[in-house]
Amino acid sequence: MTCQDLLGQLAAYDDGVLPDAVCEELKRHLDECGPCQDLRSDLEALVRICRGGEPPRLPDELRRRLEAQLSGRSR
Amino acid sequence: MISGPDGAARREALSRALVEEGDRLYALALRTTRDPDLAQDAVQEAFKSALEKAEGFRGESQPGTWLHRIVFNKSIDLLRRRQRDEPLPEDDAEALTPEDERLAHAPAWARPPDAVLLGRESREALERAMAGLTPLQRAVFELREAEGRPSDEVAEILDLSPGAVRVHLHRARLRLRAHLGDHFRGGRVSSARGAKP
Repeated sequence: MTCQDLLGQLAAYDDGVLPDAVCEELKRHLDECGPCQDLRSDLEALVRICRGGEPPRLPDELRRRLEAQLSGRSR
Repeated sequence: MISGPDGAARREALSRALVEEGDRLYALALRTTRDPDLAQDAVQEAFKSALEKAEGFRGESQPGTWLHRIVFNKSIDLLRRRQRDEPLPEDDAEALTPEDERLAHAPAWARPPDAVLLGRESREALERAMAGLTPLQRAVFELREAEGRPSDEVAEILDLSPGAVRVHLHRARLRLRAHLGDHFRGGRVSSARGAKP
């Protein structure tokens, strides 16, 4: 497996939809390839950054408006 | 006006979805539009449409999935309406391009300690980097990476194939990594290296 192959398959690997043999090849490549390890590590850090803060909350005023709309108290 | 048993059931299901999914629906709209006003409009219009249309509850989707799809579509509609003179960027779901390969060879990040990596500045840098993605790539990233939904579910929400979701995810990841790489190589990170872990 080349770095380019790994790039094309990484998201499918994360989804667990690759055949076992391809997973093994991908893992082997990752074990041996520094640049691909860096890429993998950066992408994991990216997710940590993304999940690190407080997630956005639906503004209270909009929530109240929607509750009223759904309860039939307003259009 | 909704009335009758179907209408009551729909209101109840939507009220439940508002409680359980309201924040996530808003997060998807906000990520897609990058504009809090447009995001609120998208959620409001989505619930209005959901109240008026019965098909979604009798179709194959869970109400939450169905609502996410409506919120995404409303977000795109509102972005298009705002940018009448400047069409939204097209998304090509075909195989990876030379630009994708170029981005894949972007230098690896400097390794800031977690206190820096997970700090406010990094999140702000990530938000700025999001501007370099298409609305669809941002939506895929939000659903797949921020919320951790499986690609099959993301595909159902965005009306794509799972393979197309993975292509858009890959592009989003590479672009964000390249943008953030510039941030982590900048002075702000090196000056913060002494931060306690």
